[in-house]
Amino acid sequence: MRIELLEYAFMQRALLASVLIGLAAPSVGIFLVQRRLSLIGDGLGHVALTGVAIGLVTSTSPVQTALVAAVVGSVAVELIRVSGRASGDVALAVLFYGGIAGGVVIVSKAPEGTPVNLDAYLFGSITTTTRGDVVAFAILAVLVLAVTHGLGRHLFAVSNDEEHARAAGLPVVGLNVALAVVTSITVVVSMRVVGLLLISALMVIPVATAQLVTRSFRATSLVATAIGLVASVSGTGASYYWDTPSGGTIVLLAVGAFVVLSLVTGVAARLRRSPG
Amino acid sequence: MTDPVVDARGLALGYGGRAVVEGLDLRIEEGEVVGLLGPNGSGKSTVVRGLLGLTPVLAGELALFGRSIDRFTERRRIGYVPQRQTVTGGIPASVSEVVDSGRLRSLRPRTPRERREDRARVAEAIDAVGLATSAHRPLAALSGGQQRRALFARALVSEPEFLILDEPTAGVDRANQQILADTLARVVEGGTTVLLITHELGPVERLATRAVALRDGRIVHDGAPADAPDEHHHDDDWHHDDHAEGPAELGPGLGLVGP
Repeated sequence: MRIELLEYAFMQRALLASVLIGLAAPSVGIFLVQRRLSLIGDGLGHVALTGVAIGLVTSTSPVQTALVAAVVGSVAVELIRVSGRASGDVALAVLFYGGIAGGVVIVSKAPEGTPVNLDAYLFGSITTTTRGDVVAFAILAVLVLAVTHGLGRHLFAVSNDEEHARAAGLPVVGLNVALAVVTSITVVVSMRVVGLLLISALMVIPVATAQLVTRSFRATSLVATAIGLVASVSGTGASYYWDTPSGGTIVLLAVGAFVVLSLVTGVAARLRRSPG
Repeated sequence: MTDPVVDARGLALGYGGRAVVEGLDLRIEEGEVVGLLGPNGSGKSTVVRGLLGLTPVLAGELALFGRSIDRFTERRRIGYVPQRQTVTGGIPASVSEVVDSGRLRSLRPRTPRERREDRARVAEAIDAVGLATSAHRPLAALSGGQQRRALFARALVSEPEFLILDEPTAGVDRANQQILADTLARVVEGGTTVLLITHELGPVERLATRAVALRDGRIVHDGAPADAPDEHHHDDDWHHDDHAEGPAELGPGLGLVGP
């Protein structure tokens, strides 16, 4: 049997990138949801846009400049939060608006003739993933998975009870910065296929869906990763056949899974409670 | 002769440069069971946070196991049971996962042998608080008293030499208080040093071998529990928890030492 979309090199690259995103996004997202920082990925996406704009203006790889901008932004927000100079949501608001404003202003200064299509970065486009992007994404995704799995117990301890983790002598600031950095890396890995404005959804929604049916953190992590992988790969494939933006398609599939599972678990709970 | 577990001299602790506790002289020897008493706002929680390294020392000296708090890195020697039930409710973490988080050592990966030992110690700690059948249930699905027992297991799993319990009976029903009491009795028998923070004298009288009472950030009594200022029994500003699952009175309390 021939699968048409696999005959195109751009689709092969997009599907490879979607596998990496599907694995990485929920692996990071579970710690963000646990810490009630579900929207941090959104804020970092905005900051990464400034990085993309710098890349376009300076004719540098937008992936590299977005990575630098997102990592610097994430570490800054974490340090602002730790220092107590601003609450988490205020720091996040500064990140959101400063990031997107910076991106729009800087990109307006792009030299004439520079192809500027911010939509592809914001909402994902399956035709834009280059061979170099796939290699960079693979290295970055392995790094993300190595941190989230290698330090998983420690990140769980800090996310679950930060004060206890401090009292136990864990390097809480270092672990929080590590989580912030892998979050920004995940945002950048996702910018081609899912898009900077939608990546947060793929970090959060598979986790929210998984916890409807799981009873432990580990099970939630595994189920969320499976949901993320299926939504990411099938959404990328569907966007080819339906001629839709890949990011929106992936996220709608993930939202669909959440709605269906919410209804099923809701009905099941009602049946269990009903007499007889 | 072994170093005292806690040695505080002229200690001032506080936040933002403002002292909440001042001139604190407190020495706790190995194996002692000390009740730290005081009304709300007396500085009990600040003392606990100071011992845990969460509140800075503003003046004086504080040493744990003979080492200055600044250089004390063996945090696993101290177990801590917080008053609050620290369940975030976001992701369903199981009892065994939460207890396991008390077993963390350094950031380096565990050897297979350490993994096996960690699993065994987690199971033992959960069994010790009577939650063996709930080990794989989400912590948030348990009652408040059961959650407190799970957090007690998280403190025990690191096999601490010094155990700090912050208001262990507040908001806990009679049955869970008794299980906590039985578990703590075994811990005390094993020679663990205990600091028990409470706002009520009942459980401390029966458990502690010594009572230290704080008022306005200063020690007003340090001696036998029976001699602790009687005012604490009746003073209106002694907080009575109204979130208790069961009757407001202490019931069996922590009746651990003697009849």
